[in-house]
Amino acid sequence: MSTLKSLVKSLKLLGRRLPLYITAIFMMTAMSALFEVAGSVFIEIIVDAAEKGAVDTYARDLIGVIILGIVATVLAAIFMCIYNNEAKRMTVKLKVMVFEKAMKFPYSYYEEHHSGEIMSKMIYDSDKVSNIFSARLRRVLAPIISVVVFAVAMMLINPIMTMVLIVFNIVLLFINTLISNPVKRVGKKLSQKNSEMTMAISNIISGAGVTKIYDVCHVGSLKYQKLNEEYAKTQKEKMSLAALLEMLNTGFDLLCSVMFIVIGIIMMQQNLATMGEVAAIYSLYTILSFRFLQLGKNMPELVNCISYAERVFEFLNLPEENACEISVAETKADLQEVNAIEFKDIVFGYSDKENIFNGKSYSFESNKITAIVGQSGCGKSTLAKLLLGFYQLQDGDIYVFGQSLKNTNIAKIRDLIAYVPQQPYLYNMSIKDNIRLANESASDQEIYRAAKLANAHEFIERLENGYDTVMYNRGSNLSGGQRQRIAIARAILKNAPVILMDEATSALDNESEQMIADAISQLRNQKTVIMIAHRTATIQLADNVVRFI
Amino acid sequence: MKRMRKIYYIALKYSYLFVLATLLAIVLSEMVVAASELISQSINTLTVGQKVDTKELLIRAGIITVASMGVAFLKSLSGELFSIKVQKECKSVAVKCFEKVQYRFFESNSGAIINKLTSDISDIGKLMSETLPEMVQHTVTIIVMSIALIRINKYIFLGIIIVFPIAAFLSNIIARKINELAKKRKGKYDELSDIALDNIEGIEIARSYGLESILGKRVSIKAKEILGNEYSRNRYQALANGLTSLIRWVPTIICALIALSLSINNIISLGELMAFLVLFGKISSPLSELPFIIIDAREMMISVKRIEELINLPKERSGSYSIQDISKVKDIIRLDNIGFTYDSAGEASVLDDISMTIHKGDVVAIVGSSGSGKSTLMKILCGFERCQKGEYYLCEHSIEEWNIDSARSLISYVPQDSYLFPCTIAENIAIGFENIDEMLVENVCKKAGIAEMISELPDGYHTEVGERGVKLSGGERQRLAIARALYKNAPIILLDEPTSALDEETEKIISKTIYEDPEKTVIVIAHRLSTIQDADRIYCMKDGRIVETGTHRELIAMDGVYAALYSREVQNS
Repeated sequence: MSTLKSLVKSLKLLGRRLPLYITAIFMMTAMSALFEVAGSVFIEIIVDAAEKGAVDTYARDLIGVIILGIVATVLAAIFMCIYNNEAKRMTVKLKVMVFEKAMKFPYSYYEEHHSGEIMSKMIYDSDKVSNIFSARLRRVLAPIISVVVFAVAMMLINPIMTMVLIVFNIVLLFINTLISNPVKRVGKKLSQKNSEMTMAISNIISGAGVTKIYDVCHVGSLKYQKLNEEYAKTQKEKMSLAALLEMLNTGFDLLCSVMFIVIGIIMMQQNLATMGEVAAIYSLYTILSFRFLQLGKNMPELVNCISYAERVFEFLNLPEENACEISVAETKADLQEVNAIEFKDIVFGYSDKENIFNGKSYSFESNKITAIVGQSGCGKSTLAKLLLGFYQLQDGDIYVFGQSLKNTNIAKIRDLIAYVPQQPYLYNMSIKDNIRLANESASDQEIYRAAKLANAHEFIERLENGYDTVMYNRGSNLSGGQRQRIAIARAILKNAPVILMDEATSALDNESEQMIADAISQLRNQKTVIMIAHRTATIQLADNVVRFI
Repeated sequence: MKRMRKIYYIALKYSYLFVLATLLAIVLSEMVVAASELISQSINTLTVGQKVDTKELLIRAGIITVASMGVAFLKSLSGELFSIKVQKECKSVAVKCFEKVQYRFFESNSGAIINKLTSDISDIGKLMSETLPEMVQHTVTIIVMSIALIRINKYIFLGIIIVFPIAAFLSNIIARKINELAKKRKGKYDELSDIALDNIEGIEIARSYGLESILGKRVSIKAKEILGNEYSRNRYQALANGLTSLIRWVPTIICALIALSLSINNIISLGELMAFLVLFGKISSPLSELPFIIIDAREMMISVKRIEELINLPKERSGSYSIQDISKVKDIIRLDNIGFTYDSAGEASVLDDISMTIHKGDVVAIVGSSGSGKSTLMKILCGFERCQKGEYYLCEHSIEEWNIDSARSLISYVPQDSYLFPCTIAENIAIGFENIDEMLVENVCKKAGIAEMISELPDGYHTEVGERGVKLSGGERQRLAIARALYKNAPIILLDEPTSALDEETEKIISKTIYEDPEKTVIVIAHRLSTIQDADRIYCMKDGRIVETGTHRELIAMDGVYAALYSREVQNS
């Protein structure tokens, strides 16, 4: 039952295009069948004509059948194109959906889950799901359609015999569905293994320097080989099931034919059927049983793909970051507040560690530079992340210009803060675009100005492609200090009332650090600056110092 | 063609399974034919009005059924096994190649690699398990049926066969179009994966800058491009399918009409006409489908090519030299006028005319403003990049002679932004070692000043750290990276700003422990000049060149670039 539900859910993804998609499947099947019919009618006419020796009388029929065949072919091709287009549209839509979902989780999700896991969902699982749309569903629907058509025709000829045959075939189908449960289980296992393999690969790649120098490549590759071995083993499980199925189907198919003859003989002896009926039903039945066989073969494959759909749906249903849309009373940020930011009695701890904050309060004056100092690991960065709403407080609240973090749309709070993290992240795009991310409508001039303030302009200009230099692998084509300065330029361009820097200058040399410090000094009395730091130079710059113990 | 060899070789290695599957498939179809003949015979008997021997029929049918069940099972098994084995080995070979691939390749494309190893391998699997067997089966059917047809009438057979070159010609044109599209599309899927991975890894920035929609746009633009490509592929595919039907149709009409006229003019008998039509029915569909199955196969060959590309990525150069005992070595590292540039056009040189000699046990510092080439120099010392000019001698042997793995076994390297693997702290520290020496792990953690913090964790050394170690603070990460370097216990330690996230006090203590060991040669990049005042030698770099060399005191006396940097630091603190 859950399988059917998931199938319906998958189909709902098609939205308004569902009727078009189903029509395309139906028409494609019907037109192909029509073509087959035209073919056999054509042969029949030829034989008749040869027998009678009169070609002329059949000429019109022949031409008619030929035209019918061509029309059917063309229509089948057109509907096939529509069908495939719809299927591919779903494939891409699904990938985008998985991706969009992947961007919406609470921050802690990214700390607890490997990016390889998400990638595996997006590439492997969603490919399998889109298989439902591009092949699997049609391969089950098409035989069902023809089974119904043939069954009706057979019923008209002899209902009792048809019923008996259909019961046989339903038993066959039932046995097939029995196997579909283990198939589903194996499918889930394969997906799991693939996700682990993706992680192993991304570990080899991501660590670049570390993997080479510590020979992790070798160890990682061994791990991958082991997983690969397990994956193949699971594939073999699936293979045995498929082989078993094929065996049963072949056997049943032949058995049914034999049973058919036996039943036919018995029924004829009891005068329940005539010879002509048996012959006619047999010719129809061979086609019918072939379709049933296809159904039996394709059903487990469909079920297998649906099991992936279930995984993807589970993923799509995971809780998202709490984005509170409307506050109780639509408070406005009051930039005139004395304290730009206030942490009130906050309680927070990571699940596996002791509480870092137990009812602590801190306040940060507006338009002042405040330094947060303290030993490594005492929670400075955590405070920054709490301010950005990356984690949920266990108790207490944070106020940004009077707005409570608890009942304000977190996106609005983030708009007020320009954040420079400890490890700058540059996207795989040009330097200019990386800076522009902070303000899409910024002109080139504004970008240059921000870069100049961050003391980045000069080195960027000296690069061969200047601002158009494209970053790769989180900006590894630049030095750490250069990356950091671009990140600072980005923060400056955002022009938010609060600038939050987490050890932003620690990777810089004295000279660059000094220049950044000068730039920040210029913002004094205009912006609220919070700097997490351990360097004396940075602390000297500050109006206030918050000391963590 | 030479480049394609590896995957062919793998397929060839397991081809016995494929041959077996094909043979079994032919046997199976013969058995099914035999069974259906048995049944139609019975029907014929019934039609004539005779009794059928039910018992004999059941026995014969039973035997065929059981036999064909066995054959079907084995056929399915061997066919799938072939596909699974090829897939497995392709993955395995590709990943094994990663061990030897150039460092530079790892710096980009990780999303694309994941995509290739997932999507393309499964395409190859499909090629092996579905498309290839179909091709072979169709070919066999065509040959068998052709022989039978030729026996009836040569001319009619020619009429059928003549269409084949036309079909082949048309399918070739379509195949080329579809291949072109496939190549582009797969490239775009690679890009999509790269973008998605980039977006997910940068989530911290995406969140704090509200970039969800901008970054989402990057994905949807790619998705749109892919869709456009898929749409045109579908048009060609539909065209191909329409043609398949027509190609089947046209010769049917022509040949049937010829046969008809032959029959009417009594050149062939009615019986022969019937036989011809039956055989023709059997040959026409494989004949028309084959060219288009070949289209599919050719499209899948793109995946084979893409995996081959992974396998054939440029390997790191590696010689045969290695050394067991370095006690006699005096100059552990020597650089002779080396020059380096990232792009081979070679205009913007990153390093220029760098020379240095480092004795065993020395502590050497490299200073200079950001972007002056310090980290690149480290990459050259690690053998990640090869200098284009000059010579790098490790233990008095050119790096070109060295077995690169042995060379690296001499080096512990702590990069600026150290990667922590998603496993436990202990495993991260003992990375690259199969067995973890827990005592040693604790010992090095003490030296790196992180033992205390770890012991406070509920799971201690068995605490899992996330991907990129996000749950640890910057300073904790750096100290773990140092512990990792100490655990390796290599004679050369390369440190690229290893303590920038630490407070000055901790920084000094840790630096001292590392520098003190007389057995170790340490090369450190530092911005905090106070930590390297006792270094045996300091190289001051600017724009890819060494501008000043000497001890702290000598450099201060020189009153140049270094002295200026130092005085700024003193002023600040």
